[in-house]
Amino acid sequence: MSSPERSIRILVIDDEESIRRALQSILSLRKYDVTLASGGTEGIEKAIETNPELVILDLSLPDMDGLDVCRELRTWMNSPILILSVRGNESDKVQALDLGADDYLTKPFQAGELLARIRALLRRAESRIIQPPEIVAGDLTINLAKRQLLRQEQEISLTRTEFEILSLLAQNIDCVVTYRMLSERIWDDREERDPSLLRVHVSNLRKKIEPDPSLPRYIHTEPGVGFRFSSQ
Amino acid sequence: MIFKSVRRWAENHPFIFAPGFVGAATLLFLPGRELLGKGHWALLYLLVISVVASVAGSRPSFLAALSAFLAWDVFFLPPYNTFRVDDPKDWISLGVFLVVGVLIGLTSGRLREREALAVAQEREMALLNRLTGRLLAIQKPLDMAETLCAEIEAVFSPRFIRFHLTDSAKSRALLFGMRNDLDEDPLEEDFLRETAERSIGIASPAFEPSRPAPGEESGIIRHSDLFPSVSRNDVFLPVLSSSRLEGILHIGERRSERNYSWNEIQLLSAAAHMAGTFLERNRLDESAHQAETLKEGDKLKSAIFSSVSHELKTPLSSLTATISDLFEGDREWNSDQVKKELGSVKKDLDRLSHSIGSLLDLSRLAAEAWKPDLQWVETGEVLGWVLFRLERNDRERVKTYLPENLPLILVDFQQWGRLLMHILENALSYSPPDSPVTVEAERSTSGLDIRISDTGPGIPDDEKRMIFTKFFRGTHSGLLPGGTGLGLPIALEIARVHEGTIRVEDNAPSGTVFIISLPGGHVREETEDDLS
Repeated sequence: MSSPERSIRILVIDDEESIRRALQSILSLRKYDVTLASGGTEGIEKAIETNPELVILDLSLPDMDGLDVCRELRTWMNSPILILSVRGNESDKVQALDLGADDYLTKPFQAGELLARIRALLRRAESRIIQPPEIVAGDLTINLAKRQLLRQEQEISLTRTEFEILSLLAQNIDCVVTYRMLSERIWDDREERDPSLLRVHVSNLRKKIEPDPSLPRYIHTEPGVGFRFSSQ
Repeated sequence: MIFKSVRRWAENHPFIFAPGFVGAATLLFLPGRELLGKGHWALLYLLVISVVASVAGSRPSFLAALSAFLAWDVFFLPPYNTFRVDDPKDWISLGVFLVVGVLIGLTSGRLREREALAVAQEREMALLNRLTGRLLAIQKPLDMAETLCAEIEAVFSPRFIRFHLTDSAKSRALLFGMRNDLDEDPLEEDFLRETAERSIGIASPAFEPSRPAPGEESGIIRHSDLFPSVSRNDVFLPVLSSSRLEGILHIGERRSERNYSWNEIQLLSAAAHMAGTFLERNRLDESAHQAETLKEGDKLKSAIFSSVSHELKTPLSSLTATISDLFEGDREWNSDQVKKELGSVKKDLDRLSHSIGSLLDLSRLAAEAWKPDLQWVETGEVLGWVLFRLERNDRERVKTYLPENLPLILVDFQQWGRLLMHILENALSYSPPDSPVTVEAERSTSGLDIRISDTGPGIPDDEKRMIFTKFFRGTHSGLLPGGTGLGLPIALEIARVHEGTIRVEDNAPSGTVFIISLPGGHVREETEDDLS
């Protein structure tokens, strides 16, 4: 597990003291520069003060709705926001993602999972500045410029929609991509569309790229939310 | 057509019709005055009286008899055009004519009234009968309102019907069911408030001041007394149950000109009363159901309590023991030993997390909050999601055999995933650590079957039916210390809300097969159309 070269500033907004303490110890051991806030108002103040490179935000806060904190932060801040939520609260998660949060983690979570999410989000934030023309994951090479997909030098032919889906997923490698993000990319609109249509395209895509389509290795489903392209 | 409309006019204006009809008959008779004898004309007048009686009823026929008496005297008994009579014997004829005329009128008028009453009663009985029958079959108050409005509309054809329910929380009327669009009517709220405050009943202009008795007796007043500015012919009916005012029924005036009769309002009032009884019964049913759920909930609670104390306390006590031991200052721990201890801590935590998850599922199940969010998904997609969540060595034990081109299934992704997870975990735990567990899916005659088989010791026949009972732990459950006895009941409940089933069979040579079946309505072939 490599440590970042310089201290990356992370702001944790959570009202549970034990969670704050655990996050502090997990993150500062990895040389992240951690700031803690126990409520929404304090969180926003600390965000303005420290200008964090990543925010970890619990959705259930005592003084403010986590969704409002998310909305407020997004008015000026570009850094990724990682949501902490509890199981079974899909609608809150989707709302937060629609409001500009970047990914979510369901409690209880493992330290490894948390660190992987943070790294993926930071990597994505960086790659948004320098867009790589080619993305490699496992035995797949996705050439965004040439709109080409190779598996061990062999080209796999995809339809336009399938390629759009794959490229959006790969550009957000290890980060969740919502149904809405996908339909905006494919159909270029903000209309609410039936996710089952997307599922059919994703299913066809899986048949072409997955070694075992019934046990996906690359494209994972996030029920009720969207998909995640896994580099592992 | 003309005859009908004349008849309707006559029915609505009987006291104009009676003398008018006699007058018209007289005009018709006059030219032929000399053709018949004076006695013949008397007979014809009696015919006229009975026509009036059969059309307009007994009281108008009395007026007709009087008019005919005068007309016969003036125009057909000499000397003409005067009340005088030449022949003194004619005085006897006149007297007899008046008596016979009045009697004929009264008799046929009564007959007609009885017939009309019988027809009306039949219609009313039919309406009440239909309502009773239909209300018994109806469950939802909204359907009841719809049915009631439709029946009233069919029988009385009012301009509109509006059904309001009292909302005790907001002390105002909520529009509940209606026929024909109409803007909000503030009067209804006022009426509801007034009737609720004064506990009074019907208000309708049909109650003439000359008929105060029914109004006073049953606490009925005219709505024009309540709201003097309004003089519409609408009827406001309280929808009463034995305990309270449930709402009001506001029935607009009729499309025809006729007002509602006293009997008709009584009938409407009876219908409103039935609606009130229905609403009360519905409320009672609901609270009975709630009480039943509570009782069931109590049983569950005690079962949960014992399970909680076992399932949560066991890992908790082992956690406490391990960690407090690590803190004891009486020995030095090397990092390998610490790692080993922490490994067992993590195992306990996983078990705790799993138990809490199951208990949360169970509480949702008990609260009947298990509403699936149905979507068309692939069988493999859900299975993949489940397998990805298993521990690596468990995942490696699972062999999947999914044919290509499996149909799409209509399920709640997460719930269906939890169902598969519970059955898979069950199969993995009740079979030897390295033995395989297979998952197969295939089209059945009607829908889709998913078979999950293990090669464990199997389930004895007498336990097969029990395994879906909450907190039941089978003979071989000793193999699995972390089981809550909740996984299979939860799985079955999820299958049930998806209209599916779970069967248990023996696997050959040993082990168990769980067969999860989805019905045809939840299965669809994937077509090219899906991509369009």
